[in-house]
Amino acid sequence: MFQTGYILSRRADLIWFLGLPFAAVFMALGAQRWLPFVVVASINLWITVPHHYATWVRTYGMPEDWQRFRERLLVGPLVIVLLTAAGLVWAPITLLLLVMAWDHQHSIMQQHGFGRVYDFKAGTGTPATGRFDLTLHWVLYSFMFVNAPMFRNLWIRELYKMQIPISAAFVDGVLLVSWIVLATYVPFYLLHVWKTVRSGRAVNPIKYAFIGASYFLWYFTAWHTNSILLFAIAHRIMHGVQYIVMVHFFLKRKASNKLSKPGFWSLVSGPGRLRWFLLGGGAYAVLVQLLINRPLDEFGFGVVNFAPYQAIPEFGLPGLGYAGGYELFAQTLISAYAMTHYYVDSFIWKVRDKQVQAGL
Amino acid sequence: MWFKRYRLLAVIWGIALVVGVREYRVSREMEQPVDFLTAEGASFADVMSHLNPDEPDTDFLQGMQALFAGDPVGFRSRIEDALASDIKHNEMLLQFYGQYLVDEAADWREVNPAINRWRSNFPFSKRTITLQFTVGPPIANEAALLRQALSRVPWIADSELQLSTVDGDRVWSVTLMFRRGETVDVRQVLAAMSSL
Repeated sequence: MFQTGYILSRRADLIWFLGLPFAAVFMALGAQRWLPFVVVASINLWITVPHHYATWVRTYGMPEDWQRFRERLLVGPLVIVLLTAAGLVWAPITLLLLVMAWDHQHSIMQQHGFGRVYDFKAGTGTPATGRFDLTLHWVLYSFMFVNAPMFRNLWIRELYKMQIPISAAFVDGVLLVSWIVLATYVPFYLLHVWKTVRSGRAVNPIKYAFIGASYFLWYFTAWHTNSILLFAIAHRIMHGVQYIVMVHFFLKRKASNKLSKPGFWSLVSGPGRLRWFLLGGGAYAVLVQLLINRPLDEFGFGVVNFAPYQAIPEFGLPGLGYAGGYELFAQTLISAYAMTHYYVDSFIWKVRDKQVQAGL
Repeated sequence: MWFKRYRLLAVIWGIALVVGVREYRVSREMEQPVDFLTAEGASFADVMSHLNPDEPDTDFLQGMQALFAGDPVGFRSRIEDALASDIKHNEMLLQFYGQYLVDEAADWREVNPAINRWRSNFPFSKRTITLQFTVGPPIANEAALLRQALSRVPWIADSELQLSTVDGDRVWSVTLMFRRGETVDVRQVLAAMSSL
């Protein structure tokens, strides 16, 4: 009846896939209690942006994937950038809604994908289990999205912005439908599990523990509605960290079996290169932050603020705001480069130096 | 084959096109976007009051409706309910409440925590707070003196000054931009203004 299988290993799964959602909720509760809202931006920088880097390493940095998906890896970003630019010009609210909706779909698909890996590794389920699982995810997640007060506020507000003023009675109707769908589908899904077992195939209990842990995080934080902060942090930690862990182990296994062509990916990941993989993600986040001209102290969870440049009224110098401070930072960099050049040149070009003479 | 490969992008494009056309048409017909914090947001506030009666965001909406209905006591009560829930994510609420207290000339013991609460949660915010002061007869280099006095206040990153006349009185409007990481104390602005 039961056949256990793990994505990584018993211990690693317990930490990253089964325990992390609970730890993430505790971290989010701590952040809600002790940290300001800016912590959401910090988590974004420490986890979400680096998890994008993990994608780039696997796709654009791995010859094997690049060869297989080259067309989509070129056409996709082009289409998306065009779509984004068009949205910014003609329909910014739609663009925002699209990003949010796709984010939710992406979150569902990631957890579903891990569930599929569990069945793959344990050799459990039937050929139809994938579709049943995916529908279960859509039903459970949609139920949360429609019913949780935090999300309700969001989608009703956006409908009003689009001049679709729905009534409370209409929303009550939608909620009722969501309950009916949930109450109908869950027994239907259980029937599928029962039939699976009856047909002599096994189910992987770890997959269900994983799905349960994921939905514990989502449901607990979505109904804890005094703060979007809680959902935003817990969700980002679970989604981003699990993805980074998955990519790291995937690339590590690819490197270990030596069947994949080396490339950028094998320089920054693989056995013994975890620190480089993480450092790469961190450096990428810094780069993105500089590129979009956002303050680096957003990394600091609201408790780190780079020393502001105070006014010196005695010299007639005003204090600097963010833009002025950034200009000062840029000017400091240029000056520092120049002075480093002056300093280094002061000792590497001594003509009396025998080694220098050899190069002349 | 082609559709299978680009199915997801095609679906996304399709949905975005339908919703985007709707938004574009709506935005062309409307003079300005829906402002949920004014009387035109009453319907939305009613729906949310029915669906999410105990939420701090709903308290904020109800508070704003009370304010527009000329009920400042109801406004204060609702906002205080929202703040009591330790709300952190609603910048509009936090900033608006700080500005409201300033406009109402509330005591600094109320104003300082309200503004600091907003600034600590949104230290990178570009939003400002505007204060108004009635001043006496003009003096030489008034604006420069005022700007210099404000520049000595550690939490002010920058300020904009505007002089106007209201009912025959000369009134300075001072729009304050904040330096992150610094604790706000409005008494320092009052002291700077009194230097005139």
